[in-house]
Amino acid sequence: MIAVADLAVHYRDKCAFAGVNLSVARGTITALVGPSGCGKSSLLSCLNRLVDMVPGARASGRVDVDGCDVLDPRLDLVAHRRRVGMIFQKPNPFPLSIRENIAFPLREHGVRDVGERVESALRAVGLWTEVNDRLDRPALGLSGGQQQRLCIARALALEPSVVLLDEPCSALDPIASGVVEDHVASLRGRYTVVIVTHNLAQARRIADHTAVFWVRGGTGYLAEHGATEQVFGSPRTDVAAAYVSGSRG
Amino acid sequence: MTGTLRDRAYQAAASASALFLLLGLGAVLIDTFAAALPRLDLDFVRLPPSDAGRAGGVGPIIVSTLCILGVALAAAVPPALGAGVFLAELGGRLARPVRLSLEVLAGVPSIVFGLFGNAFFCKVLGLGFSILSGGLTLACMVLPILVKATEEGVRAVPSEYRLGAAALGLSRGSYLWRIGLPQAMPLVVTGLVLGVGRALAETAALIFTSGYVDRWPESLHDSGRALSIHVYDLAMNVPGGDASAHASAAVLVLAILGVNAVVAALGRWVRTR
Amino acid sequence: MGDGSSLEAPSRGKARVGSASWLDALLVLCAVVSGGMTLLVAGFVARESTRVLWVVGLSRWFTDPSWHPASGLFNALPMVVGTLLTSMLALVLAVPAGVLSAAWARWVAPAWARGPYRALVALLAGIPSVVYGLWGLTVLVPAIARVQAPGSSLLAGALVLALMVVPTIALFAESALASVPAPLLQGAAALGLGPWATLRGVALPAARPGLVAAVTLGAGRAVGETMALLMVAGNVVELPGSVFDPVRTLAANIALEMAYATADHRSALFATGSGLLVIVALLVLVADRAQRARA
Repeated sequence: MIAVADLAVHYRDKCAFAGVNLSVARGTITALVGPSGCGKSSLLSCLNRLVDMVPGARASGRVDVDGCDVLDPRLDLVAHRRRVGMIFQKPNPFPLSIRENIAFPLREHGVRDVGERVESALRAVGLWTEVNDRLDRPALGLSGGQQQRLCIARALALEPSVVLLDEPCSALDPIASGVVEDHVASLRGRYTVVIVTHNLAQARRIADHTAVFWVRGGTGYLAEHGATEQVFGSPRTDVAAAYVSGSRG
Repeated sequence: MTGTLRDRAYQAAASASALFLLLGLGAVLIDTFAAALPRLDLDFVRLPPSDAGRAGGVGPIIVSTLCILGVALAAAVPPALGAGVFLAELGGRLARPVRLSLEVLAGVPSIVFGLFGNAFFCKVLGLGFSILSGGLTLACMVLPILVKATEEGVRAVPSEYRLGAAALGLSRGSYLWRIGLPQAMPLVVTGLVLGVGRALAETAALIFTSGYVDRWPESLHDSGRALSIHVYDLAMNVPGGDASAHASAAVLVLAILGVNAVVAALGRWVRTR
Repeated sequence: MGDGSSLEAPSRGKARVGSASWLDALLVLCAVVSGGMTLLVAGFVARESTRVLWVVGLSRWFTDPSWHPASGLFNALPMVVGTLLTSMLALVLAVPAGVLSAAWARWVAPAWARGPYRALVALLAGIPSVVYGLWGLTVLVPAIARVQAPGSSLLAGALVLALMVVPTIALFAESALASVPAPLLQGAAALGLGPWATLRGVALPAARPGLVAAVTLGAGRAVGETMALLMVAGNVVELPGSVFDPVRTLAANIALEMAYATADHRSALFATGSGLLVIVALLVLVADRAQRARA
């Protein structure tokens, strides 16, 4: 499970978001929604400490993932990032073969049965039947939707407990987007999933919980968080009501 | 509005400059090759020089040049790769002074490198006038070019790959080995070829480091005459050596043309890959 | 590959205990070695100069009766003047030609000519200086000698040097002009400015930092050039009375005398080398400032 307490991220002098408290139960899907620039992606990047790679970025507060203090400077980043997989907005397979995209990180983490894991990861995202005859061809030759599913397979092959997705469908066409969305939905139960999306209908279809972010004075904050039906059906705050009804944002 | 007098004068001047540049430089190349033709044949690149270079060829000189080049690259490439990766990946407070220092190094006149090489490699390290001294001196000269090329190459790798690798918990070593450096390779190789071009062209730094001896070199501790020095020596110190000087210059220019062709081919290969 | 470092720069944020790996240490070492090379070069050249500088000081380099270092006479003024004159004359010729031909390649030339032109100029920038020197010696010097003997002269040196640095200046000037933002040029076009007004009023000012860098790089190359000048400039240590008089530059002097120089004489050559090093370092710093002013 994930517990976020009083989390804030600053980029140099600018505060991206502040005062965020959020908990995500094991095996559930939580959607982060809200207008651009309210800190959703920054929050996601705190969960696997990718925030470290942004020059001048600083996170404060507390983040626990499976009982592990993520913001602790002594955290073993390599081990932590193996437990927390991440999928980006733009599919980013490495310029390697399809097989190597999955096999290389596995070998890097000392996994032995690489061959079986490659196959099962590709099956899990429905790519196996599409690519099993060209595993050694460049991954960059795949279509956008296939590339994104390969990235999901690559993350799943490491057997993470948490999967973070940063608008995984927004760079894809509607059909590919639907296929990827179905695979994200199928992660429920086995993985703890946090997904940032601009697509409210998508959040409503797949998320157990929804967190609505909003901006006040240039700083993002968590406006409302609850079960998806509640947030969409009977929102407690005005901004959430306006946002989910489409009248604001 | 293009019809005004000033605009026409500017366009004429610009075209004239470009034409002048091409004609002037064309003259250099054409005159050189025209004067070289009588001496230029297969024996010229195979035989050793005789009669102080007026006859014979440049066989041992080509071998010495290649040895000097090999030493220079062997010494310069490893630290240059490391420093380039450092500047692109790690950075920090050390980056600016290192970068500035390398810019100065890139501007140091080659004769000053010659002085340094003579004092440091020949005298202090006791290598004397040798292929080793000359190669190491050239290594200092090409170092900035190689570092810059590596840095630019690693920087040009799309940031998605770095983020993706970090998100998968990969170490810097394996990221660089499997993704960063292979992706950076085209630019690194381009820099390498530029460095080779500069090293081939170099004369002043070699006069007092690799020396004048025009025999077949037997080891890296032998003195070896570089092709550019051969050109200089024939032109200035050997009466009647002009034809051989031009022929040697032509060989040098052809080698550099070849190196440039390799860059162009590499560029095309990268674009079509 | 088994090192434990993750992909972050370690200098960022709080120190991460145990994250410094052998790989990071190796990279830092390479950077220090590469960056330190300049200090090593400068340090050694300076160290070899001290011997004579202790004895001679600074002013005697300009006031001694002549340049006979073996006899303790160190007047380097004619060579300093020779170096400055050849470089400046060469730049006066090469800068307008380089910048104009860069402007030609960007805006005047037909589109098909740009690529080949650029490739050719890049090739010419790589032609060895001995080749230029040889051409100057066998073609240019005899031609000048027909006008006024001896032919090997300040003029021959400046012309050959100009020919050598034009490609360098043209290449860097072209990338400076290429960096002029397109909206600026579109704005100029929208105001109905002609090509010349666009170049003078918009493109050149906008590209100024890059152009300054191009000129200083060309100047650095000209000041340090040895072989071509050695072959065509005549190498007489005297103040030239006209462009047809021979001159000797500092760099050429080192190449000429190093072979037999010993003791104070050798040290004096290193001292002139230090002087060249300082000039070039200053030029690089100027270029660096100009480049950073753009950022």
